[in-house]
Amino acid sequence: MKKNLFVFLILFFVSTFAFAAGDQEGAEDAIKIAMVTDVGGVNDQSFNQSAWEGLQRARDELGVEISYLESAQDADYIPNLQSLIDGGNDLVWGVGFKMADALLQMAKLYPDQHFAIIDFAYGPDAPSNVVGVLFKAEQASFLVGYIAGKVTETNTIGFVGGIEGAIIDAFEYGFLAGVYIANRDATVLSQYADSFVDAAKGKSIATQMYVQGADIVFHAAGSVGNGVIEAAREQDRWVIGVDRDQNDLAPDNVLTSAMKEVGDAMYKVAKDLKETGEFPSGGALILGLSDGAVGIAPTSNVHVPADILSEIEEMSQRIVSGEIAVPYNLETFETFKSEN
Amino acid sequence: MKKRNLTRTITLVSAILLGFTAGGIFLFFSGYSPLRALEKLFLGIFGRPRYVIWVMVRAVPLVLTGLSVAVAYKAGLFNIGAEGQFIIGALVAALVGYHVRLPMVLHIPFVFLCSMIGGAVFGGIAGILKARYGIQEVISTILLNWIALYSNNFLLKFPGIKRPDSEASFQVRETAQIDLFARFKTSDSWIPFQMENPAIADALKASLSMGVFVAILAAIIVHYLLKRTTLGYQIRAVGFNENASRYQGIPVNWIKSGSLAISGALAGLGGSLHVLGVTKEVSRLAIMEGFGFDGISVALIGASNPLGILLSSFFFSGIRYGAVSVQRDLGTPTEIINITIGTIVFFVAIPYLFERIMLAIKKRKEQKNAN
Repeated sequence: MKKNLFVFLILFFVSTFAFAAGDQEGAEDAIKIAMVTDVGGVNDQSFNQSAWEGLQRARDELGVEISYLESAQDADYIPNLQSLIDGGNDLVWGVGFKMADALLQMAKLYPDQHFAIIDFAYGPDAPSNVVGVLFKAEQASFLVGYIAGKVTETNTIGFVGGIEGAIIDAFEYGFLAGVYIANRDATVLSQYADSFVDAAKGKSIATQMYVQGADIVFHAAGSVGNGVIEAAREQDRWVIGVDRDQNDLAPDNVLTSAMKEVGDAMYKVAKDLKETGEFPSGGALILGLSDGAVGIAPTSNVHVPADILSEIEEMSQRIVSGEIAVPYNLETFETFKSEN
Repeated sequence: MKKRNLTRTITLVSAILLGFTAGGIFLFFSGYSPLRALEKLFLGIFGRPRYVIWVMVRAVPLVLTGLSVAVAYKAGLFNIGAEGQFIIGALVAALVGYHVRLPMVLHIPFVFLCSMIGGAVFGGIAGILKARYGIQEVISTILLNWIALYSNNFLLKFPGIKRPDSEASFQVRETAQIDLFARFKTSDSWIPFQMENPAIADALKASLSMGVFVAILAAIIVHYLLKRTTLGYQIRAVGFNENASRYQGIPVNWIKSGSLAISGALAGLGGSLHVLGVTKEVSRLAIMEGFGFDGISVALIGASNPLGILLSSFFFSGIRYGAVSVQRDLGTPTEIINITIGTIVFFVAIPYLFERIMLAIKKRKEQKNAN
């Protein structure tokens, strides 16, 4: 019995290598770009997914070779980044600010490798082989907040956040400012799920909010938002999506989405790389409404009345021109309220 | 005894093969070549010295949680709480590593000690609940896991613990860090060194830490504890037959709570090795990271034997780490790897379950006969 097994094992491995020797890697000269997701994973219906969609577009339109690795724990970031470097990628993306330390360490350890990170910017003394991409998410949140303030009938609106921090603060206070400008009587119920992945929790929080009379809930909570959208579909109320156009998740209930075009930004970097052969170097790219990197979802015209959309158009222009400075944390929100 | 070991080895090997076969079938039907995947897996583990070091580094927490589960199991208890005890150990390590200032020779052992105490207290709670009130440790440890997770997240809200503009704690001081060559790798002499010794430099790029040696040492100590000490004998006796042990004068309740406390201390030590060696900080946990749960599988595959656990955690961490190369080169989803590991655990668990059921039936029969 044991002997048979042993023979089987040997055969198994030998045949493996025999087969493996047969096929070789494809084109060598194509640009290779890869990304490491944060703990949300690539199917989070949110910004990791948006990032991956951006790379897929780069593959389809530019012929770039792409790949990704998912992280299950914070401790996975360094080995994952390193593995992509070993894979001969020209550019390695870290998706999410949680990877900031790991990526910086790798940038120092591999000075010839190019890196980029979403939602984080290193200070002036950052190594030149890494670039940060930041989004003015508060601008998109402001616009959807404005829509929510105009559309609400109960004057009660909900906000579900993931985990408190600078990134989600931008969503929350931008949203609050938008509601504030549109509708002074509206109250916003705000709650954090303390998670970016616990969809069940998102669902229970949103259901609670709808029971309390909210007729629109906006979420900025990664996969937690899937639960929020499910709650909206069950209760047949409005929900506002985040990061990508989430209308496909519940076509009758997703009013609009606060778009943060992570994928778009990654596509553009790939395109520049392909056309000019130059990597974005050092410092940070800060992308906002004026770059078309944030905004409301293209499907907004399905549910949002045309007159509100034209007001949104006007608001966008006022933001781009700098007339409205959208707040991104509690402090700026207080100043914003006192000025408006 | 010899024959039993042989059966076990055969069971294990066939379980592993069946697991790989199942993973291969899933791969095949998802349109990937199973054989290429296996090749990439193998190269992803043994392809470079750096990979082997990574596998060892990533096995460290699994060794400790595996030992933790094993010690409780020897006393007849099922510790599902290694996850929570690990979280507590990590949290304590991050706090003590940052807020206490000591020279390095004292700081590192002090952090270990504090984490072990933290884990022991946390595991001991379940032990006391079991011994005094007969509350099932399976249930209490599962619930304690959540208490640990949310305590971690709750404490990380406070200024002084939470590093500003982050979701994480302050990083532990350099006097408490146990990774090797970290300072060398950021120093000026690194670049010339890298030029001259590319092979060694490549291997050093893995985050090797003293944790590897501590983990091996811990396995040896646990082995000694269980096999060569009175306490170990009592633990095994209680696990083997509670009533007979009580009749013999072994303080069964104390042994039970004690073994859960030791179990907690081991998981806690795992948490501190992970923080001091790898993450340097604890961050808010969106989900359980799974070190403790993996520890259950590791203990099972390692037959709750400390040396077996060393091997099984290297095996476990090897598949996980090698899978990264498979995913990178073939684009296979991580889920397939998890299916493979799940299947292996499943097939390993079934014979044990069978053995236990047979034992229970035999006991019942004997009781009937006695009556």
